[in-house]
This record gives sequence, C-alpha cells and structure tokens, in this order.
Amino acid sequence: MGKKLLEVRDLKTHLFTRRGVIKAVDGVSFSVDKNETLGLVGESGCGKTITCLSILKLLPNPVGQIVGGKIIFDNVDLLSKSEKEMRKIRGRRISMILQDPMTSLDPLFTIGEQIAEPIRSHQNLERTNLRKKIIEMLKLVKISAPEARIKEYPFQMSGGMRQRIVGAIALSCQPDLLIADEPTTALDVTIQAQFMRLLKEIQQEFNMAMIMITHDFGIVAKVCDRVAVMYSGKIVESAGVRDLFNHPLHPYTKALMGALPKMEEDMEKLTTIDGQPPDLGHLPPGCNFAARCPEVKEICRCDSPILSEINDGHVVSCLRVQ
Amino acid sequence: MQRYILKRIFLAFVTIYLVTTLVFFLARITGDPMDLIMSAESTQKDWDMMRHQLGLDKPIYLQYTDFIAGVFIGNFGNSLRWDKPCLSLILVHLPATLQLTICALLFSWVFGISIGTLSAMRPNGLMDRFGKIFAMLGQSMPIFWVGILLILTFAVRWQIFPTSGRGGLLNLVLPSITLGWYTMASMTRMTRSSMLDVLDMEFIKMTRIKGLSEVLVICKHAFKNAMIPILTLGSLQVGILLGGSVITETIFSWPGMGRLMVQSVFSRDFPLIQACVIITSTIFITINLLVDITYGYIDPRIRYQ
Repeated sequence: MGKKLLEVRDLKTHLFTRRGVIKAVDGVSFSVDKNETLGLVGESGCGKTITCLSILKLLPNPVGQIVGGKIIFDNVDLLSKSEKEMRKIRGRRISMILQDPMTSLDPLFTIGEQIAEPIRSHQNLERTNLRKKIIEMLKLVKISAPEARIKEYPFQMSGGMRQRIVGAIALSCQPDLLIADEPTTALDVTIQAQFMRLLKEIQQEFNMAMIMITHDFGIVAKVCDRVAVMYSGKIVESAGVRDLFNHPLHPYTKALMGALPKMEEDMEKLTTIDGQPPDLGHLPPGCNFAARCPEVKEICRCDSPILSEINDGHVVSCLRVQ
Repeated sequence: MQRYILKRIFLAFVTIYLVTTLVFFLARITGDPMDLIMSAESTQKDWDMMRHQLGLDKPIYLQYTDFIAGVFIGNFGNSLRWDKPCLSLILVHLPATLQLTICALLFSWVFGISIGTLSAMRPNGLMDRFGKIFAMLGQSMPIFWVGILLILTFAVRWQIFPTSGRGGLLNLVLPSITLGWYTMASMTRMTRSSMLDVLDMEFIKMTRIKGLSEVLVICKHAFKNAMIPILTLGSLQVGILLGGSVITETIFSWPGMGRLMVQSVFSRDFPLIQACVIITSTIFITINLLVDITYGYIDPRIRYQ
C-alpha cells in the first residue's frame, strides 16, 4: 500500500433543518491511499454523499455544516482552507462525478465549453491548445468523432455518453482523487460495466485514487481495493475487499450481502433487511442497527459500539464481535 | 432556426391583423361619434352632411375595407376630434411614451433582476427579507398612490425633482419609478423563484465541483438557465407599460400616448383609437417576436426543434 492521500478523521457533518438537527455524518473516519479505490457502501440516506460533499466543502448552504473532525488531503487540513483556496483544489486535485448524467450537464452550453471551463480556470492554455486538450479528453472517455461532438449540446446525447462527458469534465485536470457518487445508477446495465471499465483504465493511466460511492456489491467486487460500509451516518465496518467478502463481521454487512440475489440459487423472493433505517434526527441510545439486527443482544440497546481493529486492516463497530 | 423565425414573423402579422379588425368593430359598439360632434341645435340636414363628410354613412363593410386599404399604405385617416391625420398626432405623443416606458423598464429590470438574484443566492438572508418586503409593497401599492407619495416627498418636501411635465433627465426620474414600481416587484419575484429553481439543479453543483468562481456559476450558468421565464415576463411587461401608462401620465402631466388613447376613446374618435391600438400593438408584437427569437439563441433545444 502506498502513501496516504486523504485521511478523514472523526468527521461530523450535521444538517440544520427546520425539523431539527440531523446528524448525517456522525464521526466518520477513513483514509484513501494513492492509486487506491475505496468503496463506500450503504443504503440510501446513510450519509455517503454528504461525506463526500464535505470533503469538497460543497454542502448545501447554510443547512449543512461540518461541526467536527479533520479532512487531511495531501498533508493539509482542508477544513482550515478558505473558499478561494478550496476552489483551486476542486476540479484540479479532487473531482467528482455525480449520480445522474441527465441533470449534471448544463443544457444550454456545448459540451466543448463545459469541458473547457475547469481547464481554463486551473491551467493557462491558449485557444488552440485548449481545443486540443478538449479533444484529447473526449478521446480518453472514448467519444467517437470528438471534433464534431465538441459543438454539440447535452440533449443530443445518450445517457451513457453524457456520463462519459461528465467523466471527461471531472478528469480534465488530472485530479489526484476522483469521487464517483453512484456513477452508474442511472445507466442501464450494459453501459454500467462499460463505464466502470473505462474509469478503472483511466485510474491506472493517471495514477489516481478513487472513492466509489455505491450500493452495488457487484461494483465493489470489480473495482474496489478496500470497502467501508456506512450505516446511519457511521462507518460500521471497513476492510480489504477480499477480506470483507470472505469474512463479513458486522451483521449489517452480512445482511447487505445476503440481500444480493445469487445466480446459482433458485430464489422465489429477494432477501431484505427488515425495518427502516433510524431517523437521524432522533437516534435511539445504543447501536444504531440494534432495532433491525438479527443477532442483537441486550447490551446493544444501551451501549454504543466503537470502531476497533479485529485483524490487520479489518475494523468493525459491533459489541457482539468485540 | 430559420423556419422558426419565419413562422414567428408570419404569426406576428396574423396577430396584428386580428387586433386591427377587433378594434375596428369594438370601437363601433361604444356608440355613435356624431352624438358628441354635433351640437344640440343642428338639423337633420347638418347631420347627414357631417355623416357623409366623415364617411360614416357608408355600410360598415365598406368602412372596414377602406380602413384596411388605408392601413396598408400607412394612411390611418383623420382624427374626428382634432381633424388632423392620426399618424401625425401619434408621432407627436409616441416619443414621450417610449422614453418613459424604456426608462421605467430599465429601472424595474435592473433592480428587479439584481434584487431577485441576490435574494435567491441566500434564501432567508438579509437581502431576501428586504426583497420580500420590497416586492410586497410593489405589488400592493396602487400606482397613483406611489406617484403622489413620490411627488410629495421628492418634489414638494425635498425639491430634488420637478413635480410634473416633460423636460430634462430630472423630469424622467419620478414618473419612471412610479411606472416601473409594480413591474419591478413582479420581476423581483420571478427572478428569485426562477433562480432558486436553477440553483437547486445538479449541473450547478457540477460547476462548483469544477472549481469555477461564484461569479461564473451565478452569472453564466444559473442566470442563463433562469432567463427564459424572466424574458417572458419582461416582454409582457413591455405591453403593460406601453398601454398602462395612462395613470402615470395623468399624475405627472406627461404628454404621452396613454392620455391620447383615453381621450380618443371618450370622444369615440374611431380613426384615432384604431391608429393608437395598431401602433402600440405593433410595437408590443414586435418585441414579443424579438423575445421569441431570443429564446432560440438562449436554448439550443428550441433552436434545433
């Protein structure tokens, strides 16, 4: 494993809404090494996206606030940076791909212009070189006839193509870290695999680290080196990808994997996890998963578990395991 | 795009024709202008002579075809009341109205759009609260009251601006604010809600992820996307201000089209009513046409349809 590129320590991001404070991210710690891909897994609303938006400091203003913790990127704490300094990091050193390619491109500007923008604000390129760079980026994401495509608008393209354009925008300044927020959820299955393969190829070419937000263990198995499983604003288990698949320790991880349909078994009904995730505004005492946990013990309902290392690189937060 | 423009131009002509016809017949429903022209002691012979002289003795379809034929060569006939060509009467009053309308629009758009944008950037912030009060006042205060308040404060008490009449730039200030007051309020609200919708979009988040400056995010991406409803409202406001300046013109004794039009209606001055409506609706429709074409330039999805 290489050097640490990003380290998030005890990050707390709260959403101050009219109905009260929601602890969307509640003491999350993880790190990403150079060239590494970390999978961030969990069901909708568990705080994956808020965690990543916190890294870029692009939380919905003034609702979302980082109230504690550290985000150390390349040995500097991002939380101490001003908005102006953050702008130099966004797009150039840390970039992000959003979930829905149908809405993440501006409908009124050509794709050439949209790819040019980050390059223009971070690098000094004259016109001919800028054009060359845009075409190079389009080729990188395997868009055919890039010279003609440069003048087209997003509405003239398919979903898969648009997501590749978003990729080209995110990668245009060769960032050190790419955050991909469920990049394939909105695409159909054949295009999904194609897009993931493309991302993986580019990652190797650029020596880039990635955080892959997903709820799809299939993607995790294919592209991630390590996985962190999130539940209700906390990381409940984190391990190398093989380790996690072979020996899941946390009941939530086990349940998530159990919910995957298996090809070899003839199942009539899909397995689900009973119950609902807890309301992040009113968390009960004890373990957040206790209410839905099939292996719950009496102690789980009053004591909160803490993350502790079980064996090399495998951490879990469950009282039953510790 | 060319077909789109041609289609719009064709529709613009159709609209002008329909408005013209409608006004011709509507004006004649209001009554007989002869009642107002002739004195009480005039005889039946005088009536017949006058009626013949004014062309009012012809059957209505002949009056109509004469009128349409006249419009094509730019002849709107003579005013019944002033006995002068309608066109020259209008040309005397039109510049004053255009000047006032343009100044009022500039005032309401500059303030409306900037207050609306700033409000949307920080919902519930200081500017937003101020803007809300401003918009509420604008929409609920009647024009004549705003005008009188402005005259009392700035012309009578502090004597910064003249109370009435057309003259230098100073004369323009109070009437423009009075006339633009209401449109500014609706422009503020429209800009705010349109901008709020756009700022919530994923592609705005994407522009920030790219590391673009806030100026570029707001002025380039958000504003261009919020433009279409703003433009639509703006083009409607041109019509409201062109036709609705009667009250303002009366308060400030502004020699414009609004007053001319009202006078022509009261005196059943058919040719003058028709000419006024044709001219103002042509201006209004031309502006709408320009706005329709601008939509195409802003939004490629309209352009490529």
